[in-house]
Amino acid sequence: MTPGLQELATLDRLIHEPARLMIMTVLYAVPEADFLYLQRECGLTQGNLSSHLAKLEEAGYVTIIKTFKGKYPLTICSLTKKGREAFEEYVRKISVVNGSQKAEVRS
Amino acid sequence: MNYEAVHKENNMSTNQTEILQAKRRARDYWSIDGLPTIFHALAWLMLAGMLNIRRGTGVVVATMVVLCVLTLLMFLAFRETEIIQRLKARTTYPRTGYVKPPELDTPSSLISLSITREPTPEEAEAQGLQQNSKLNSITRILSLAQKISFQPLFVSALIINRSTGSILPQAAVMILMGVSSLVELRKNKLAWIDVIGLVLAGLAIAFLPTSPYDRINLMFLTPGLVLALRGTLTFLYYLRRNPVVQA
Repeated sequence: MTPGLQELATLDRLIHEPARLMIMTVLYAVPEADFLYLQRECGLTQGNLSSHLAKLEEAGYVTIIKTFKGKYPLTICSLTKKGREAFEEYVRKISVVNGSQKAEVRS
Repeated sequence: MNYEAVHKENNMSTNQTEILQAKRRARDYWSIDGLPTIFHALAWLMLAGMLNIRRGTGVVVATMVVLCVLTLLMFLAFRETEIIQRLKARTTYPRTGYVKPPELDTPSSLISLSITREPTPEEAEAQGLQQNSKLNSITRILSLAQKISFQPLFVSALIINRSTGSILPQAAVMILMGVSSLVELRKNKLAWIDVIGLVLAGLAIAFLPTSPYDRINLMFLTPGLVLALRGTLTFLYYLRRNPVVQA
């Protein structure tokens, strides 16, 4: 087993789940987004998104603030510092695996 | 796990391209409803309207009106984001959600994650974005300087025009304003309707049998009308496509 492959075992499973990975990617790219925007971007149902966000919030990766813009209620989500670091670490590990696998195939 | 499986995993997983795409979509989302375009159209039309008050008015009245319109324009320019956000809170956010657009000058730290390897196309794109962000900050400073300097420049040009009858200083200031506005437009990508509008404006300015003053007026009126039309069509199309989501 290559060292790159071993990185797969240490991947953050909380982020590795596809729906949560989509949420983390969108939130990493923007300072903050509301529930509706996340739902449209990720193509998730209300309940699904809600449960994934709850898990990410529980892990301290996401902050959820309920507020109003005029009469319209907004549920604003943003990544915490911990969430940003965890996501960067996840991407770094995936890149390492990707790099080592490509090198193996070429040789 | 074989290579195919890992490759599939990687396809599913996130990478820099996906982050860049998410950033781009969030940035483009700002103009999805056409409200910023309508706002810009209003500025152009106000300038065109301002130029129409010159006939039959004295220097004092004309200068006052010009000062008022330019002050209002400066206020709108500095409060643009806030005003558009207030409008969006009523129309856009209840329909398609809210997102704070990412800043161009805060490049992702992911760019520096793998500097030892040969850059992939995605990384090259990310580095390009980083270089663009430097350009963008220079453009912003120029834009701010331009917003501050136009008012006294325009008033000086008007006074010269009244005393000497020459429209050259005003034409120079207007060309400067036109060029800077085109730069602003270019940042948001020109739409086909803009190109047609600008070509029509060019033809009208070149061939219509009007005074030089009216030609300059056309320089503002035509882009204003084109932007207003595009913004309104985009807005109506957006409202039709996105009904309010019931909670």
